[in-house]
Amino acid sequence: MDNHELELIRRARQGSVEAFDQLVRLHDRQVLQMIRNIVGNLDDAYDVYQETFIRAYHKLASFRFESELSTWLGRIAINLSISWRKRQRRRQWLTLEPVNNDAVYGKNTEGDAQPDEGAEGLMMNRELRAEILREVNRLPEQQRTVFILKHFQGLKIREIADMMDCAEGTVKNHLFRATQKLQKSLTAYAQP
Amino acid sequence: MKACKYYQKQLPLYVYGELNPAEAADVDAHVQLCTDCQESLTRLQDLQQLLPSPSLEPPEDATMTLLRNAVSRRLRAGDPAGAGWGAGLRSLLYPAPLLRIGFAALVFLVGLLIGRQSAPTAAPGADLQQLFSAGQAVQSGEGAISPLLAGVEKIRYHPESGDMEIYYTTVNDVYLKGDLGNPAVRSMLREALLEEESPSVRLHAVKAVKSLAEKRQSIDPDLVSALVYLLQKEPNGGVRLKVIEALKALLPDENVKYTLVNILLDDPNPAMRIEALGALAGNLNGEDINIFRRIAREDSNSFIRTRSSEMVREYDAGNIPGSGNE
Repeated sequence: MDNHELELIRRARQGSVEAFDQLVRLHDRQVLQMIRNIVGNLDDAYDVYQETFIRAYHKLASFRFESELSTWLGRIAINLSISWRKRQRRRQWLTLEPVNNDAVYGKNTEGDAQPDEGAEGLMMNRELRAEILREVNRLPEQQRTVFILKHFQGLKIREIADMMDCAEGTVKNHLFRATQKLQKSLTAYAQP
Repeated sequence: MKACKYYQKQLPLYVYGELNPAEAADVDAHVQLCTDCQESLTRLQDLQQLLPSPSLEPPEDATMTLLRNAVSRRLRAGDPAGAGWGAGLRSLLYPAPLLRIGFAALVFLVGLLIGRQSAPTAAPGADLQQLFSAGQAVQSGEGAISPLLAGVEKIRYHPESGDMEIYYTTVNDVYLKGDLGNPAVRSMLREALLEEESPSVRLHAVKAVKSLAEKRQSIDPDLVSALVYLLQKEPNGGVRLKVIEALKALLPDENVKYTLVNILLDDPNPAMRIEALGALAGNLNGEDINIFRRIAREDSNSFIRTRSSEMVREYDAGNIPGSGNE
């Protein structure tokens, strides 16, 4: 955390919305991406994004400089995203259609079949990817969050542990269990 | 030699580049010799290839600008945390300025009437944003958390000890346990009353407040105001009935009585009106009785007419505390 950011935090804690606006600009792309990956769609991600920064502003006085501001923001974003998912689940929202998965997680051209594999292979890989993504959504919340933060967000284990406020060993364990389950579904789908 | 189980756990870390060079070399060597681990590694690599890579397209600048402006606008407007969700309920908390002032006055009056019970939270009559103000981080089952950073998963109340357990919707199993005199506990109860999506959690929160009200005959003004709002906006009939029971325990507080009379007069649900009538019975004074005389004559609901007539008769006969003929 550089001096400029420290100064912005200090001013924002005194109530300066202008300073907080600048802090938002420093970190919000990563935060939005993280939220988008966890909540699973862009429209909801926009809502959670706003809520994350509104809450961060009101809670900034409790930021104790024990971690990077980005980690602290990530923690708020993760908690709110998980709360959001639980609320949405109560409203029977969950299923991500393959087309939405592309929109949410990005188009995976590498995972598609090569052109010479033909349309059948292309379709097969798309179905498989959709199936795996559905499995990701079925994972227990903590395993799903760890997997998403690691796989889609590309965060380090240490960063995930900081954001989820747990030990690195716990994160590794969740990642192991998540990948075990996904491997099983991959095997099951490949060998019907 | 390490067991396969050890390497199986190392494989995801290997694939995601989380191992140091020595550890990675160790995995490499093992995989050369072990068919099971080799297959696991292949499946993990397939998984990696199949799912999109972490490099997502960054959001467009125009989108980011819109989002940033929205946050900035809300902050400048004094928008509290939580206002983005369940806007229907919370819009009541931030209505037109006159209503806001009116409600602030109500909170102030309630504060004066029933007094404060414990350590200070928001001053009576303070801005309504205090309802959602940041509580202090609280020590919980598994470390410190900030109460407003998470929703409530469930609430347990122990009447004997007076202890409340509030479980959060966080990534960890975190809960807050403490006496209702604790401002952080009350803060979370308000959060559960006003923000929680699950009716069962709201119901548990109302029950807890009801127990507190019955025990002390008075509660924190912010909790009273939360109950009043909940009564007005709650869609679940069971929760509303429980709110009326909780408010009953706070009578003869004048503001609570005013709320219940309004429910009795205007609520579209007859069950709520009857419950409000029951709550008000025994808490009438000279001014109220005229309202009940009118209800006894004019109300469209025959049960309410009959019960009101009885209440008026009892009052006139001096059988109700506060009756002029007592």
